[in-house]
Amino acid sequence: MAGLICPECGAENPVEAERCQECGAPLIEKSQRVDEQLAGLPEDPLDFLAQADDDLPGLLHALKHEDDQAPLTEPPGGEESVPPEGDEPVDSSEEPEAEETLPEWLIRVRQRAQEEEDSVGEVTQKLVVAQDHLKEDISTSQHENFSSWIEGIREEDGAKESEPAEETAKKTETGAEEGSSEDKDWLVKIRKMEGKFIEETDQEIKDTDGDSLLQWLVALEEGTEQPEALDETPELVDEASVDLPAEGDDADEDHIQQSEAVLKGDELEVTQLTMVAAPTPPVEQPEPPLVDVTRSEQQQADQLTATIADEKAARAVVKSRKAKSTWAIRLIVDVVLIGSVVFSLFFREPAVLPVAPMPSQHEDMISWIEELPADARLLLVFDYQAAYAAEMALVAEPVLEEVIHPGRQLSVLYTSPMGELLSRALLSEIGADRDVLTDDLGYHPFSAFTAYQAGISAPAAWVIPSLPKSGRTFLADDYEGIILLSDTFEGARVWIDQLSALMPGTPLNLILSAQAGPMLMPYYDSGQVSGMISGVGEARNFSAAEGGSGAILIRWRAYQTGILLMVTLIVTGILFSSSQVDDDGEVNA
Amino acid sequence: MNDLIWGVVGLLLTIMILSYLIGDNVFFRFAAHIFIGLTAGFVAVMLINQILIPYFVTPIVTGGWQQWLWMLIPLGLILLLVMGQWSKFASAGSIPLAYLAGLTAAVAVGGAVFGTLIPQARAVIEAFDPAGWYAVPGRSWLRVMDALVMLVGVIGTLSYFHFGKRRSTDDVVESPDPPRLMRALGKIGQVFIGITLGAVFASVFSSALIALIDRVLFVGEIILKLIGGG
Repeated sequence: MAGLICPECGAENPVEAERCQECGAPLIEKSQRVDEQLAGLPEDPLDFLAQADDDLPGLLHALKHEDDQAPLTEPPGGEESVPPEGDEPVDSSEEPEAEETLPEWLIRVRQRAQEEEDSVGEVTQKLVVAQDHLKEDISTSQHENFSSWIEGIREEDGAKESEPAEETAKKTETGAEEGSSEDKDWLVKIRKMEGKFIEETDQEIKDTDGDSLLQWLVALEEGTEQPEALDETPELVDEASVDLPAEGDDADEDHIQQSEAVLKGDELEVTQLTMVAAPTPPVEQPEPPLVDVTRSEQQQADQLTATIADEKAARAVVKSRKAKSTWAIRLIVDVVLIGSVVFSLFFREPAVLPVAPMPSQHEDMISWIEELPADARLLLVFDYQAAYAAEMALVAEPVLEEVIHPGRQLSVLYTSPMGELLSRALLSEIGADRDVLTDDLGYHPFSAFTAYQAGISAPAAWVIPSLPKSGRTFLADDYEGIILLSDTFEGARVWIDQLSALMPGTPLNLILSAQAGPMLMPYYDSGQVSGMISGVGEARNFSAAEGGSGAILIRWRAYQTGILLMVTLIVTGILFSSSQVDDDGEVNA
Repeated sequence: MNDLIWGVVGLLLTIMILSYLIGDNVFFRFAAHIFIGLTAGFVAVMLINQILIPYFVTPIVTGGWQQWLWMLIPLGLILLLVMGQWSKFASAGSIPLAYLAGLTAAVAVGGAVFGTLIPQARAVIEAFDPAGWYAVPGRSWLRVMDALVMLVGVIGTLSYFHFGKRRSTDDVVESPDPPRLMRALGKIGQVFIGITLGAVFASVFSSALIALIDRVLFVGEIILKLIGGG
C-alpha cells in the first residue's frame, strides 16, 4: 500500500497518519492541496513548468526574463500571428486552448523558434521533448520515495498482491508457468511504465550527444528519480536474489534477457534490473530453532567469527620480489674461500701458538686432570654427530692426551648412532699405543634416560630380584670423573641436569663444539660443571698451554683466514642489503 | 692399497657434496642418497645389535622362567605398538606411547627443575654475596658489575618472554599490553637475547668452517698421495 509522503520533509508515512512522523507537519491538508494542485494542472505542461519556476535552472530563468524585458515582436501582417507557409507553430494546432494560457515569454520563444530554427527553435523542441518526461514525473510525483512507488504498483496489481503467502508458495510449488505468467503480467506493467522512459532517454542521449542543455534536462529528470531509486538498490538486490525465478522458466528467462539488455547501459539501467526483480513476493524464512549456547561455545563461535573476518579482511598486497640470480656471486665467494683455505693449509708454515691467559674453565679442567689418580676410572660420553667429528677431534685431542695414561680405566658410551665409529676413531688416534683399559658400554639411544640411569646412586633400594641384566649397566658413582663430548646445547644440558641433581659429587667436564659453548657457560658459573672447553679457539689456548702440537697447529692459519673472510662477507652483505633497500624503497629497516 | 682406494672413494664423495656450491645437481643428490641409505642401514643394525639383542632377546633365550615373566612387560608393549598400526586397534598403540611420553616428561621436568631452574636461580642470588666480591682483592668491582649485569639480563629476558593474560569480570580472557616497566625490561632482555643468539650464530659458523677445512685438507692429502707428493 502506498504511504503518504510528507510535503515538508519527504518522509514516508502510513496512510492513516495525519501528521508526519518525522517532522510533525500536517499531512492530510497538504496532501489534499497537492492533489488539488495536480488535478488543476493546465493541459500544457509548459505551464506547469512555469509554475514550478523555482526548480528551473538559471539558464531558463535568464531566457524567461530576457523575453519578459524585450518587447513583444508583432508578427507581420497584423495582430493575429500568421505562421509562415509550410511552417506551423509547435503545438498550436493540437492545443489551441492551451495556447491562450501560455505566458508571453513562451510565445516569444516560439515565435523566435519559427524565425530561427537553428537556435531557439531547437531549444524549444527539446523542451517539448522534456514535457513528455515531466508528464510522467507528474504521474509519479507521489512516489518520491522508491518504495512507495513499488507499493503503488502493487496496489494497481492488487488482486494478485492480495493473495496470501501460502497460495503464493503453493503456486511456486505447483508450477512455474502459472507464477511466471503472473510475474509476466506484473512485469509488463512495469515495462509499460518504465521501459518507455528508458528507451526515450536512451534515444535522447544518442540524438543529442554533446548538447549541454539537453543533458541538463535529462539530468533534471534523473535528479528527481534516480538518486532515490539508487538508494533503494541494495535492499532491492537482496530481495531479487531471494525471489528470482528458477531456471527453466521461459517467461522469466525472457524477463532476464530483457533485463540484461538494459544492463548494458549506465547505472540507471542497472537500477531498472533491480526494479524488475524486486516486487516478487518474498518467501518467509522459517525461524531458526532456539539453541542453548554455553559461554565457552559462544566464545568459540566468536573466535571462529573473528578468524573468518580476519581471513576475509583486506590486506596489503605483498609485492613479491623476484630473487636475483646470485649463483655467480656465490661461486666466486666459494672459490675465494676454498682457495684461501688451500693456500693457508698447504703453502704456509704451521702457526706458532703464543701462550695466552687461560680462562677459569680451562684452569679448572687442567687442575682436575692433574689431580686424577693414576688408576682413575673415567666415563667418556660421546654425544655428537659425525658432521662435527673434525671439530670435536680438534677440541678433544689436547684434553684426552692429558687424561689417557697407562693404568687408567676408561668406560665409553655413546648416545648417537655413529658414536661407536667416532669413539674408535678418536681413541685410536690418541690412546691406541697406550696401555688403557677401555670398556665399551654401548649405544644408549635416549640421552635423558641414560643420564638418569647413570645418576641413580642408590642401587640397593632399587634392586629387583630376577630383573634381567644386560651386563651393560653402570653407575656413575663408580667413576672419578665424567667427560662429556657434545655438539649441541640440548644434548649436554640433559646430562648436566641429571648428573648435577642426582650425583653432584662427581666432577663433570665438558668438551664441546663452538656452537654449544656459549649457552652452557652459566652451568660452569653455577658450579654444576667442573671445567669446559669449546671450539677450536679455546682448544688452541689449551694446546698452547700444554706445549702446543698436533693437528690444530696445521689448521689454525686456515681457520683464521676463513673467519676473517666470513666476517668480511657478513659485513659486505649487510651493507649491500641495506643499500638495496634504500634503492628500492620497499623495505623499511 | 685399501687406504688409497677408500681415500679415492672419499675424495669422489667429497667432491660430489661440494658440487652443491654451484647448485643442486645429480652428483650431489647421488652422494646424498648414498649417505642417507648408509645411515639408515647402519642405525638399524645398531639398534638390533645394541638394543634388541642384549636387552630383549638374550634374557629370553638365556634366562629362566622368572626373567621370562619380566619380559612379558616389554613384549606386551611391543604387541600394543604393533596393533596400533591397524586402524581398528589404533587406540591400543597409544598405550605404550603414553607410557613413553609420560616417562620422558617426568625425567625431563625433574631434571630441568633440579638441574637448571633451582641451581641457576641460586647462582644469580649468590653472585650478590659480598664474600664472593672480595674473594679476589682489587677486582671486587668487576664481580659487582658481573652480578648486576647478570641480574638485569635475567630479569630482562624473563620480561621479554612475559605473556600475561587477564581474566575480566565476564570470564573472558584478555591479553592486554604489558605494563610500561615490563616493556622496558623486555627491550633490555632483547639485547641480551640478541647477543646470545649472535654468539651462537658465530659459533655455528666456526664449526662449519672447521668442517670445510678438514674436508679441504683431506682432499689435498689424497691428491698429493695420488700424484706421489704426499
